[in-house]
Amino acid sequence: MDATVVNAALEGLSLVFSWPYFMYTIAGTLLAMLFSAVPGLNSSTLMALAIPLTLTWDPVPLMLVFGAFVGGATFMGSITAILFNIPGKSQNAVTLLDGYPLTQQGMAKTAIGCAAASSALGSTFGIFFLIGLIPFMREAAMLLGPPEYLMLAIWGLTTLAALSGGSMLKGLIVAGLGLQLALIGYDPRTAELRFTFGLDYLHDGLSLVPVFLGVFALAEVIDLMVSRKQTLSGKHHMEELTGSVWEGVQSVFRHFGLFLRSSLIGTVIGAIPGVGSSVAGFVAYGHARQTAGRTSRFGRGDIRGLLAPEAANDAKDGGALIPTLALGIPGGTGTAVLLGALTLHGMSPGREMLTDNLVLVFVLIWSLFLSNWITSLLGLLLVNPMARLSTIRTTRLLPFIIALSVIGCLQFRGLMADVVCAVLFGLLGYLMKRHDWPRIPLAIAIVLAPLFETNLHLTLRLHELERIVFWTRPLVLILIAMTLVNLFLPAISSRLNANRQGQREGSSAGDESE
Amino acid sequence: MVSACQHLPATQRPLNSCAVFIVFFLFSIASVAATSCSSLSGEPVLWVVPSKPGGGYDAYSRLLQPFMEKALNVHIRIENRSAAGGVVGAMAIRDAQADGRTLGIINAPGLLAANMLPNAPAPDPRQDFTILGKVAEQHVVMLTGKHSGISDINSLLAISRTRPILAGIRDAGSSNFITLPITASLLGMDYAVVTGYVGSGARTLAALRGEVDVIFLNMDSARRYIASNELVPLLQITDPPNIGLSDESRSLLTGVPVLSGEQGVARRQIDTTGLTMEDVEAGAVALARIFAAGRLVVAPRNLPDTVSHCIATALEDVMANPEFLQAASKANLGINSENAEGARKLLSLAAAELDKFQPEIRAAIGEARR
Repeated sequence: MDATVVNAALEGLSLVFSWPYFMYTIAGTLLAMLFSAVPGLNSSTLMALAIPLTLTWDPVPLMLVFGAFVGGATFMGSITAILFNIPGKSQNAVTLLDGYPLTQQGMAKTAIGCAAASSALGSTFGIFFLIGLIPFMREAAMLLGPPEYLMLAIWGLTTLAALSGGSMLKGLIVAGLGLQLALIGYDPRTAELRFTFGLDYLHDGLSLVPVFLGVFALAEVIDLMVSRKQTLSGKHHMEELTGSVWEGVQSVFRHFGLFLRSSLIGTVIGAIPGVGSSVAGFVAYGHARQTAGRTSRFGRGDIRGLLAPEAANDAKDGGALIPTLALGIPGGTGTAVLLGALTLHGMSPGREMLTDNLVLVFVLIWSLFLSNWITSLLGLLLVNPMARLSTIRTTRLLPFIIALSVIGCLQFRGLMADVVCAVLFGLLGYLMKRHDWPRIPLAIAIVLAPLFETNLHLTLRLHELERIVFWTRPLVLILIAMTLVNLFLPAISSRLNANRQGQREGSSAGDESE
Repeated sequence: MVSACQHLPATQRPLNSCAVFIVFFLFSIASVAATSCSSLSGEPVLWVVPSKPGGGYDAYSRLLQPFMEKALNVHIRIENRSAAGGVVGAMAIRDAQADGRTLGIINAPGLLAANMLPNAPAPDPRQDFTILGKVAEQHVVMLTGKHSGISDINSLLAISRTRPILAGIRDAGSSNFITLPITASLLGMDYAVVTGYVGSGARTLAALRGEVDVIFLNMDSARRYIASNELVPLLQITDPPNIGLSDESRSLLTGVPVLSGEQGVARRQIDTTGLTMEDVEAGAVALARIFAAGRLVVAPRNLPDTVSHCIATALEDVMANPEFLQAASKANLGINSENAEGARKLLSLAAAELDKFQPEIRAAIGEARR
């Protein structure tokens, strides 16, 4: 590695750990953790609020605080997803698939331990990948174009439809419903209204916050009320809870290959501008499930289903900085706000940033790194009080969960209609759960729909104008192949299994007759 | 007023009249204050930005935020509502209650162009808003990616003689629908359009990947890409001396030809385009006037006069504040401000010029919607 980069990295590290700069990272991390404990609030909102307050700050404290905001916000959303089935942010929706079932089995401590460890290690991976990529950042940020984005969206949809449990046909139908719901509101290109039925509330489309809170959190609340389950975990005392923090931490090392692959997925997807933070976790989950084999208990509390998205969600933060710092093109909403803050302070992301301000870049990176570890370590220290919540009677816990969900809806835009929307989606989510229809494809389809629609249009237009040839792009072909595998492999596998089963039965019947 | 009465003997002082006058005067002052900015205190004011975070409109809004908060003594909450080239954000401002609690920033030329869309849902900046002032103008530059094989405007024009030039633009409310057809007609250039590149980042990537030949960006968005040699500026669409560009921006544009003026590229293309000198000048003047309408701070229509006056005055004071100008300079954001009345006049001029180019602009929109 270039000596300049190494020197800048060391200088940045020394600044982060020096007094009083160290306190900026600590304070920023704690603030981000508190903020992101409320569903729907995220680091982007916090950064946006902080911009006017930090306009007169020097660059070093600014980078420290904003790096801490980015790093400190992700993990808390995982806690509410694991304990209460409430995704703190859209990217945590996949955490609850296996995180919440672990809580229901009395293994909340294991789940939180695994989430904390994979978050911290995943972010470490993402950051070191980012540092290693600094000389190649520009090229890395330009690898994908509209065709690749389009196929990534299609592959993501088929992955979740195929692997979300139950019938794949049901998964695809639900994904289609999600795509249809995502069309509600203004056409992003022409501003014409679609499917709003005259309702002003629907002009901006369905917002992710009330939809996610409804489909996951409120649906679970309804289910708990109907089933009259006494506690979330089925246990009444802490001593009855199984598993341990250490078991959760160990699971990351037990499945280290999966952890590395998931972190790589998160970093790469985070580096793709415009894809969004939610996608990394979903894709990692899909990969984990595909590679799990017949021993998997995905969707019923498989630790791998928690480890993979947690690693990816935190690794993506490092990845998202790649296009932001290298080209001034944000990797997601959080980095977009960060970009705005940097601009207002006279810092220009791009070549100038990577040459004249490289030390500041490393201050940002190390602050992000440190805040991720602080968050995870604090999470580990608080495991017991958090796990205790799973032994509290649901009659006492449900009002809190409902209140948290309502606050999450209201703080978003201050609209009562968002609460109503969440309730309606809660009813839908409950009915889907009751009749064994997967909910994740609905959520991911709403998240991926803008990516799908915009890049479908761009791809068709560029292909028509002969500026791209869709079928000759290597990554596109790989993604098409992966999509076809998603669609047909389950059917082929079950046919082959049925044949093998039939042959075994046939040969054992033949043995018996002999 | 008190001293005016005090010279009279006590028995002759028209105490009641003076006192009434003083009380009335103080009451009037208090009333004016109570019905203007003080009516905004209490709840936060929503400031709508019609684009994603990190872009030019967002940067100007966040730069203004702390100064306007101090001037109005309110908390301002910024909300990004991006889609359809800023049209969705503009609609949000238009449809809000006219009580001073919703403000925002709009792309006036872009909305004027968007109003030419068939079944246009876009607000009309002339009618649907209370104009409070202008923050900045758009200095538009035509750019290409550094690996495009297009080194300057002459090589672009040479290519345009063999095939249409492909431009990547945003969407419905994009002022590129003005820039592209007028520039193309002045240069005698055939073009095709790809829409859907949301944000300057997406368009920059499109140019860098070679998906499109050219893009149009405001200089405050293009600056960092030009400085890092990712994008090559080919042509300055609007005339620099009249625009509040930062020093760094001016230096980056040294040697980049302009469209209009005596040395403008449009004049050199007269033989190709068949236009007269007068047509060329009219086109260049039109572009300058259209973009002079700039980035406007607005509120919903029919804002009460006292509230409108208060906010507009506060905005004007902020724009003249040396601290604000220093912060803008630090952020490399050019300020070219106008008060409310001046902004309204510029808007009317822009709309009048735009009407002359309706056929070209509608053709561009039609081409983009294919």
